[in-house]
Amino acid sequence: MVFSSILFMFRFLPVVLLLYFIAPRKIRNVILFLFSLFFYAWGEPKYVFLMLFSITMDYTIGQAIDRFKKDGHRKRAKAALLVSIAVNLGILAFFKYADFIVGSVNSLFGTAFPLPGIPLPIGISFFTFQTMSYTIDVYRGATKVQKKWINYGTYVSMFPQLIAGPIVQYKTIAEQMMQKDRENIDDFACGVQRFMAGVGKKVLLANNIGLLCDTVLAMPMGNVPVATAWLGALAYTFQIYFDFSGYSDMAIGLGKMFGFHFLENFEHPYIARSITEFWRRWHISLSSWFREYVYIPLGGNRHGALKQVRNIFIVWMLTGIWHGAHWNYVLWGVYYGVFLILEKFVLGKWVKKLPGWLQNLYTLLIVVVGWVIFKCEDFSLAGQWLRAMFGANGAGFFNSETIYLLYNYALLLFVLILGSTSLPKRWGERLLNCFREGGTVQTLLKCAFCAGIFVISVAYLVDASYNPFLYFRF
Amino acid sequence: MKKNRQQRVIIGLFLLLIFGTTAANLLTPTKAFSDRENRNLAQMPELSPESYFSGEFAKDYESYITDQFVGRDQWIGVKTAVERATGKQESNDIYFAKDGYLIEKHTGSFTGAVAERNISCLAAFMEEMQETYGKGHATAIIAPNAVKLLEDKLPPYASPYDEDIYLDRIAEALPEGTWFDSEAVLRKHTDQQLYYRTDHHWTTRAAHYVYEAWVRERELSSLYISGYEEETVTEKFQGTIEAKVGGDVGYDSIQIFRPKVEYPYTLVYNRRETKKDLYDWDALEKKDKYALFFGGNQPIIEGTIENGSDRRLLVIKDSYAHCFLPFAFQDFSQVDFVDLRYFNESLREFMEKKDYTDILFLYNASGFAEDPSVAKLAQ
Repeated sequence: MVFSSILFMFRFLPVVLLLYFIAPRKIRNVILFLFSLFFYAWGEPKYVFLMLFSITMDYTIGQAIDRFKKDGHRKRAKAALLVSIAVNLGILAFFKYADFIVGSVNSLFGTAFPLPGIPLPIGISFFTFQTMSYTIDVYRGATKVQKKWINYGTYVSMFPQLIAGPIVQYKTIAEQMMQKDRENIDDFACGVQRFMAGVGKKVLLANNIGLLCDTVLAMPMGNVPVATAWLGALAYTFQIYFDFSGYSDMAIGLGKMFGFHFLENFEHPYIARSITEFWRRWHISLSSWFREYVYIPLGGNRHGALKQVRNIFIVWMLTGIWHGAHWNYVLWGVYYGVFLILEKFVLGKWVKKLPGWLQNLYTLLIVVVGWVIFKCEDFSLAGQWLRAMFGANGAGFFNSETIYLLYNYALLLFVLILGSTSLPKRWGERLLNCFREGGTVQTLLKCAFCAGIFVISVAYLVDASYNPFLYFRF
Repeated sequence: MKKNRQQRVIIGLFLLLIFGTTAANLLTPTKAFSDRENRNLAQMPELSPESYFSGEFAKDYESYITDQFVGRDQWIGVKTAVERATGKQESNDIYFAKDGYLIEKHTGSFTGAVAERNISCLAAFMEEMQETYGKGHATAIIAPNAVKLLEDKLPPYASPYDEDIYLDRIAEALPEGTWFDSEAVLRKHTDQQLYYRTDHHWTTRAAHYVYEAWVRERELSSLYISGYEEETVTEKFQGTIEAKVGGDVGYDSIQIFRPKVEYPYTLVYNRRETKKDLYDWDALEKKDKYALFFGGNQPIIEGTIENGSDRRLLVIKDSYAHCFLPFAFQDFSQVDFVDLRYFNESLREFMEKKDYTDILFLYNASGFAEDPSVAKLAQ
């Protein structure tokens, strides 16, 4: 089930809100757990058992690690942790990467093993990472052990963040999980506005610019002129950001309605002035996960430049492959690894000396080209697309179709460019500050914002045969 | 305290929107059919362990609630209005063209595998027909769509797939003497209304021009346009394209051409029902008013006309033929027409039983390119 659907907004959400808030506090986590299971099972019920297995295993291992540590059996605790990590990675390898591994072996060695063809369980990359963060943190003593299976299950399966993140580490919400009075009016109202903003980003902005990207990709790439190729690449650049960050906004907003505070996942990544900064602003919960559980344990930057380069490569290979079981994602990860290393040791100093707008341009150029690699599971398409972008296919700079697409999407592109910066937020705040805090005008403005997005988004959803969701594959 | 009130109002509004819309949906009775979209709406699927675990139930349930969403038509109108307000010249693959025309873009129709295969199917079939019925007695007409003929009305710089490329390829593939170039005929009359503004069909007038040119080329006697009286039968027609964009797009009128000298005829519908009038006047009371001609799509209709002609015509066609066929009643004593999409018999066996003198294959370009049942020509 996705949030931006008639089903979620007008069946699931009202029922879960109603039952959750009329239930006594003691059983609210249970209700959230049950609804989350239903949410996950929708459309693909078998994998709910996989998730329950994962929950039960890591819950049990968490208890065991805690017990071993208290009894002074450090080695046993470590062994238990290794089991947890191995099983989680095993689940991920089997359900997500089996086809990829077999296919790669076949093409490398010329063998013909049949592909297992296992359908990908939704959100598996997210929940295995969350459960691992829990056992590791219990082992490290970074968080307390969760004594109740229900509470642990609620954490892993919690529907707002279940299928597309943010990757919430257990320690972030450990206390809120147990807190008796976590829900409050402040958070709920905040959550409502955040949720509506996310719906608008996803349904009105991401889906619509996605049409432009699809239009360009439907053309024979060998004849696409430079400007059109860039238009397509920019369209995808905006689509993936507004899609994914919109989803994170909806998740954070929904979390707040139920009294949970997830960490921010995006901080205007496209205004970054270096690749290093871009990755501090993009999918923050994923990069922090890798930093905390892979990069630093590998030694980070503490064992000399050579080791650091090695560590960065490992992390970025993994980041790449985490995004999907195809070689293009590996290439995309390594591509970023290379730029991060270059920035660290060579480029960084030069880039800093450039004027600000050139720093932006440099960053965006690398990011946009990166998205082309990311978008195309087929390397030859990526190659043709990049050739078109840099005029190597001899199809000219633009044609009448370019003009048509430009003026059709001019307004949307303008909104997207603006929306990628922090300006709308600042202007919005300035506008609200013109009026009395909590006064009628302010209230009306906020209500108009929510209701406006609601009406237009529902119109698009009712019409929509077009509501794909990009982060489903991961 | 003030802040608190603001938050309560926002929450109240949100709950009102979510719960209000949900309640309105639950309280609205389920509809079986949408006149506007001319299709059956999804119904509440049956819940069983099998349907649940296969995911079938989830899929069907989602189509059900989307199809049955309260005020569906108005919501789609809102979406189109927003789309137009933001400067978009198209919505759901339809151009907002000049003079109130809604013109289908047909993205991808002509480049698919079906489009490719249908060309060779038709070429083989026409070859065989020309051999069987003789030169000049087998014709293929693939009418261009509005997007081609009304290209002057498209938004500036719009560049849809060029149908001519596809039509030229068909013309090239067909045996000599079987292709009739309807586009060339229609080009001469672009000052007239050749297509409906809100529907994907050509007008009766357009069909008439093509018919006249065709019979003249085939040297059949025919009444000229003076031989008909044009009659407007409705001015409240909104066709299939309108249903896809909604909103305020205006109406079309439908004309019929009544011959001044009308020969009596008998029509047998699908081998069961006999009718004396080709017009289904009840259709004018419904949404799909184009069904005025022969009551819409039928697998097979056999028409016998008492006009003394010794020529008997079989037409293999899609719905573009519906307003075209009445003209043939002047020149052929037998006019049978088969719609391959619904006709489930062997075409060859059917043709052997009847004694036709002429064969006509009549489709519109995008319909031909997209229709998988054209493959039945080989049967």
